[in-house]
Amino acid sequence: MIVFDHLTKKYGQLRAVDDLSFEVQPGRVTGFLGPNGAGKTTTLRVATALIHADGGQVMFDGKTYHSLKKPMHQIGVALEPTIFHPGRTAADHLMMLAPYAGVGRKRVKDVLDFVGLTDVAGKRVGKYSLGMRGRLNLAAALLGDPHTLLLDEPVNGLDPEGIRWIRELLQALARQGRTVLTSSHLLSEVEQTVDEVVIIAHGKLVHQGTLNELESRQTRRATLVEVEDRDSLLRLALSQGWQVRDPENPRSRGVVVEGIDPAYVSRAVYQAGLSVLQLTPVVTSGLEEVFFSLTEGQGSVR
Amino acid sequence: MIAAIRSEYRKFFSTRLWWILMLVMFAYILLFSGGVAGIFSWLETSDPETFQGTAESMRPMAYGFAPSLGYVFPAIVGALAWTNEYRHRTIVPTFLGEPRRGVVSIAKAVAGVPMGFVIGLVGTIAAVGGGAVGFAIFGFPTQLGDVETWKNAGLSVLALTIWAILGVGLGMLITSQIGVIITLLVWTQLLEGIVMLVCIAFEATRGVPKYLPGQLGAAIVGGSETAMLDPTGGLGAGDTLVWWQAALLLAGYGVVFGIVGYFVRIRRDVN
Repeated sequence: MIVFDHLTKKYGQLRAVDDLSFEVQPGRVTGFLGPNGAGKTTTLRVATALIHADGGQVMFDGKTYHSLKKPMHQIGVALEPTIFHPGRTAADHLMMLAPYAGVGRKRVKDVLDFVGLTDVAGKRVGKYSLGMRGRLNLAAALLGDPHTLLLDEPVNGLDPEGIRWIRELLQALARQGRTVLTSSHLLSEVEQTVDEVVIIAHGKLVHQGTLNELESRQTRRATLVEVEDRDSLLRLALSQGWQVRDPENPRSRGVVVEGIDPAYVSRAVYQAGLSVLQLTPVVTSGLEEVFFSLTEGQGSVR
Repeated sequence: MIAAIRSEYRKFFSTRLWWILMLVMFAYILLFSGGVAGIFSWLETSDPETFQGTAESMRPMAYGFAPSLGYVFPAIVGALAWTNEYRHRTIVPTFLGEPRRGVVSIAKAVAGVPMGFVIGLVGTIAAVGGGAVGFAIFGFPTQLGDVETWKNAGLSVLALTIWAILGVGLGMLITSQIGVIITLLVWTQLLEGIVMLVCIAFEATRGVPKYLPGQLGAAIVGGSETAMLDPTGGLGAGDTLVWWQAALLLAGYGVVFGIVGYFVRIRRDVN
């Protein structure tokens, strides 16, 4: 189990991670989500002692990363795949890490085989594609056969086949009772992989729970209304205090009324004597919608 | 600690730059040593009257070219232990594998000793080998059977080994590869000479130059004999230190660089 305990990291005035607390349980895949710039990578770097926390701590089964004897043996970490010497072969990269993990050549060969890099193990990493680097990064994380995995955007640069492979791999590892935390800025990317999500925005926790909980958390009701006289409708909306927006379809001349029961909208439009061309309830309960609504208005680029 | 040292070796031997540097150093020293030995032997052969004893007097300098000309190479190779990691960001997996950065620092310094020794050996072979060939061609004694020659060769290896350790320390202070190279070249080729001249100009500071790194390196192998390359023409090397004092002091520079570098650079966040 990983416990993030009131973690804070400041860069000048900016609070990249802001009093963040959550727990990650073994035996399931936990998605660590948030828009770009939400503080996911910073959180993972603080957790692995690459950067100092300004407050709080991260405990792996009661121990900080820094106090672990052979951390690679217990925690596998794959951060961004830009951490290779271009002149070194994949096998040499893993061999240089092998002493830290307390493993030998046999294990290096096994993980290379496991991630499908055996044929190119003797090639310099400088010649690797982004997808191959991603696989090598994962091989390094698995080298010490750790019971906990921390992965930062592991599907980046992978082809569809690779994405499916990693999906199945993470689930298999979780089924073995391991703790798996994998980050992404796209919910759709991990939707089919994760059992639970931790969503952060601006370094703060905005949601933690299962995907089902996330889905039922917020079902937004909206009504698409199209009338002959659009201005009258807008005046009505104003007098009623409705929140309106333009419909997604730019060709539609209608107005979307948000957060109001469609039956109520219908009555109000009828009573105002507007001639209705269309009145359709719109239910937006997609996970992605919920994810956006949880993290939107936070001013970050997605 | 053993694991961290083993990892350092694997990092070192799985890249190419170090042996390219070693090859360049070998050729460079061989050229100078062989050249000096050959030219002065030839001069003495062609005009024995004017150049009486010249070849003989050039021997210590030719045989001592490894520490006097080649010391930048082991220093750069030593620094590579850090600069390579920061440049290619392999420092991330390194610190993930061993989060105790002090352990990584000590491992790199320890691993630097045999690496420096190998480079020192190669450099010294180039200096003594090149020089001996130059003298032998014109029939001058090479003194290769002499105990003194071998003692000096040993000290030459020692000097380069210590330069490698100093390089590791410098790499902790300046983690940029190009930064280390520029610092080393500017200091050794320019600043140290200027500092020496300034120090010699004043009575009170006249004793300072012998403690400067370049002078310490030369003093390990017997400073005044290689003083032709001293910009003050041997003035600064007036009274040099005993070889082991110079060796300890030069290593001390590396230790100080390393300790300062640890606190101002190595302990910092890795992004």
